[in-house]
Amino acid sequence: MNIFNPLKRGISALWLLLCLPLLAQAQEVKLDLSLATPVMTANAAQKAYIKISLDGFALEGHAERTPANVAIVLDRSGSMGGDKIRHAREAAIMAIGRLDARDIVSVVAYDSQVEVVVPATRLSDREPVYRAVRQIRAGGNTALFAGVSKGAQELRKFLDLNRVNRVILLSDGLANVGPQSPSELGRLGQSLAKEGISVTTIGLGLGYNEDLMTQLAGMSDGNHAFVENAADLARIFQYEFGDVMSVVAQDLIIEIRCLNGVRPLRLLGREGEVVGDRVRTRLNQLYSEQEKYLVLEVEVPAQQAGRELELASVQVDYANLATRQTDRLGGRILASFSASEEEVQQAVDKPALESAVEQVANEYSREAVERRDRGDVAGARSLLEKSAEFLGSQAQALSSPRLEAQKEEALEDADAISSEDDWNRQRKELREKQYKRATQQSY
Amino acid sequence: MKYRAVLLLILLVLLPLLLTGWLGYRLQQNEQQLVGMQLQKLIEQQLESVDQQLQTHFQQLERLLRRQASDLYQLADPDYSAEQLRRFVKSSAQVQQLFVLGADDQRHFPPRHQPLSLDEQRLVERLQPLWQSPGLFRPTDGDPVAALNQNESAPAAAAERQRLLAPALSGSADYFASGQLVQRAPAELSAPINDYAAKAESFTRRAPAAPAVSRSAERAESVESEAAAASIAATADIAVPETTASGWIAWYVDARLLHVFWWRDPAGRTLGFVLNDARLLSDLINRLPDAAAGSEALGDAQIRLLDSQGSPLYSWGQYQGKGPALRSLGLSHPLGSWSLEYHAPALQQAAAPLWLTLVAPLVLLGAGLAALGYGLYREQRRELELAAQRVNFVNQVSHELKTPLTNVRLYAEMLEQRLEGEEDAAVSRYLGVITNESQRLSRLIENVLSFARLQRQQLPPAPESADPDEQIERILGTFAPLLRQRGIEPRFEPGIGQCMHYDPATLEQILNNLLSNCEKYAPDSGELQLRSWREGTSLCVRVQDAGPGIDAADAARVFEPFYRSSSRLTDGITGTGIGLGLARDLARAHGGDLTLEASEQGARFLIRLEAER
Repeated sequence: MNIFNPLKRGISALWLLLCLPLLAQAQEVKLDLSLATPVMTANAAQKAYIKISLDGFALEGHAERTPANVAIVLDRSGSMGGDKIRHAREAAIMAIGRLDARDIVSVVAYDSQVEVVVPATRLSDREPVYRAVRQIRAGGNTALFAGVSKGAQELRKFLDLNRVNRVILLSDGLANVGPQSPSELGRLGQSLAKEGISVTTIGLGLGYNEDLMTQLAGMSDGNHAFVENAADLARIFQYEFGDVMSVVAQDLIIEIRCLNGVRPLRLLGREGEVVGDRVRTRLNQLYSEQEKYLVLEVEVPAQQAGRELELASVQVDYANLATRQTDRLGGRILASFSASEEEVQQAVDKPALESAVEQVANEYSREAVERRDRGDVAGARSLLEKSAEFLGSQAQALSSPRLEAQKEEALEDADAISSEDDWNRQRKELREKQYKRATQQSY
Repeated sequence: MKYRAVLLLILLVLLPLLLTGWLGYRLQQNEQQLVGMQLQKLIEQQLESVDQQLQTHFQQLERLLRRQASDLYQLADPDYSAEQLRRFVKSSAQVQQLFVLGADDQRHFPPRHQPLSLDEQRLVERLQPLWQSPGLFRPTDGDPVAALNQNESAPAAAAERQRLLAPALSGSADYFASGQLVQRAPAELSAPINDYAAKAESFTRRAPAAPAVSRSAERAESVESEAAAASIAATADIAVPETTASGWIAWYVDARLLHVFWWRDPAGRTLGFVLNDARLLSDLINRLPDAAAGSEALGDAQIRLLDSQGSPLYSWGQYQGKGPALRSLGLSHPLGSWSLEYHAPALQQAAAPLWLTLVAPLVLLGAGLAALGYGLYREQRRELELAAQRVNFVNQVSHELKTPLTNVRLYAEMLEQRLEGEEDAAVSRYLGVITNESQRLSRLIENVLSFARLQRQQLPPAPESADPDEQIERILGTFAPLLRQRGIEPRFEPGIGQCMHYDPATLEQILNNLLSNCEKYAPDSGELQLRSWREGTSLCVRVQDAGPGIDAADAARVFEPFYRSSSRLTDGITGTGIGLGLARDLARAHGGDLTLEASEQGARFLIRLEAER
């Protein structure tokens, strides 16, 4: 035994040494750059779609997850009375039940005023938290802005980039105390995102302002959900907490630099900053085993056939929550040019193009809602029909069932957008759908 | 009579009640006023401390931004790199955008000749008017941290400023078209930049809020202070050893209030941090108490933070009522257009328990007095009832006496008739006494009964046709023996001589009373004169004796029931004291009167009865 022991130790050490790089390999975000049309038509300026896809690595079991710092901000205005507030309380309690002593939770409730029901606290003793949540009663106005502010303030007490810092906002009504415009809430979200806080917004019922809620979520890279029936709140909270507990990377700063005269046009679906030939954007977090991607539309100047051109270089900096280190990924996107249309068609990167088409159609959908808001119902409808047609042709070309499904959806939306009676609910659904598609939300 | 007693008692209860109530009310009012004033003061202090808290935020933010600004300055080499500035903006949660102006007031960042992001383009559009007014970037004493000297020379410095600014005013007119400065006098916008280096730090005036135009009149008077300003500059430099100037600007654009913190680097360039307005508000809200802490601190009151449009941004405290604020306070620069409002139930309502403390004792006092009053009233009622019972008793006794007396009189008279002719003087004298005394007794009883009936107003006159002269003669006839016995000689002068329509019983009773008074009070006075005459429809009888008369002092009172004139007269004289009063009441009930006339000797009464024809 005594002779074997050092040997055994040696072997296990060797194993570890062998496995370490493998482990390290696994615990890293995967950056995948692709071009929808890797071979492009020569001698013509044209648009191209670059897909930058980020894959979250798998977590090493439950024990490994990143601790969370969550503020649940509940609307307890008068309209939440009855079943709604009861379901909200239950959902909150159930969701908190999934957390453990590593996590920090706070609960804020707002009506005309804001009350910190549970100040940020480590979840070692749940009962007082549950008790406090059970005492939330509905009544009053909707001071949404202040509610989010106080929720964020509770997060700041334990703000840490090695934690998932998240405000989960539930509201069923229009903010009517304090700032109430989508842009103001958007700017608040923007500021919170800079601190590493994201805000998930859950709109309950048909009374809330979906633009405000999606702006707030979008600017801070949180999730957004439309829950028509309060009984579904528990499910949504479950999904949300599932997301929260599966975050593997945070603060992902993506910088794309277009080269060789390529001009960035727009980032589809996400907020980004375009300065000259540079595009910068930020993802607050990446979830385990989930793909998030960006599609950048660029304009490529005319090139001769046979040439190979570097379109852009991409750099991603992020905080790896598994290793607790800042990592950097990089890559380049190349395109070749050919005079042969067939060659161009054959080289098409199907998944990338699919994503690009999906996002372009999504942009159409957004624009359609905007037109509808301006009162141009017919224009909105025709835009969606155009989008469906576009989706249909691409679905056929790529033989993609996903795009086919999206086409059907666009046609349904075209009907929905021209119907007058149920527009409020339809709009909320549309906004939610657009948001989820743009951000690849998991639920 | 009965009602008067009740009224008196009610007054007895109400008067002290009202008096104490009024006094208590006044006292309470005064106290309330005092409390109100103290409350106002307290409220003001509370609001000021909130303002102070918000100011603390700006101070801390300013410290942070100063540090960050000097960090950026350290990195600049020698120019600020756009890359670094953008990275700073990306990472700063508080700052939305950043700009750099050169010493020549030209924009360095966002760069002028390079592509800009959408945000930066928007910033340039918004702040262009601000940059065109470099005079803005100088410290004001309204700034939270700016350590500036507030000495007595400040007015002179202000005057100096006005002088300097006035010529440039026209140039700043375009400001008000594009954006609106908050809490800044227009005059500040456009001071010549060259003067700034030498003097700017010294200008420690309060930003006057009056429009510049109105001040142009004062301009002429304030030319002399160039030297003064220079000396202030010297002291200011000592007071502010850090030569880096900085300050806050609040700027309205697109209906949004933007806060800009500017900092001048040692190279004379100006860094401007445009704050994220939503974040600023969020941070300010986080400095204020939440609902639980608020209701603990304020009780049943509420403090509201209002923006420049007066719409509430945040509130804390339990009170939810609408209506005007008890007090409002404008916030200090750079939140100058915002205000705080203190809402609470109106003071009167707040003092409701005080009212209780006033009302409860009053009610108790009222109840006590009412009980006392009621007791007194009961007592008085009992007395009255007792008196009534007595009167009743006397009445009944009188009635009971009347029948035997009539019998006595009747039989006495019958005996007299039977004994007529007998010469036994003693017997007829005895009989006379019996007759007289029984007559007197029946008059007395008649008086008592009449008195009682008059009291109950049950004695309407029963007029009939009769000859008063004859009646008077007859009455005198019955009285004559008695009077003569007492040394009085009655003499009657009849003056009517015809029948009249009147109540003979009344006249008889009145005369009976007068004559028996005369018999009682004026013995041995000689002649008693009676005279009767007619005066229109009235029947008048005058009765005058030659007795001691009635004192003028007693004249008014002799008619009062139960009053008997001075002891001198009444000594040893019996009487009920109701005779004269009753006589007068009877006369009055008959539409006439009985009056005591002034006379030189003796008492002179005039009976006047209204007689229909």
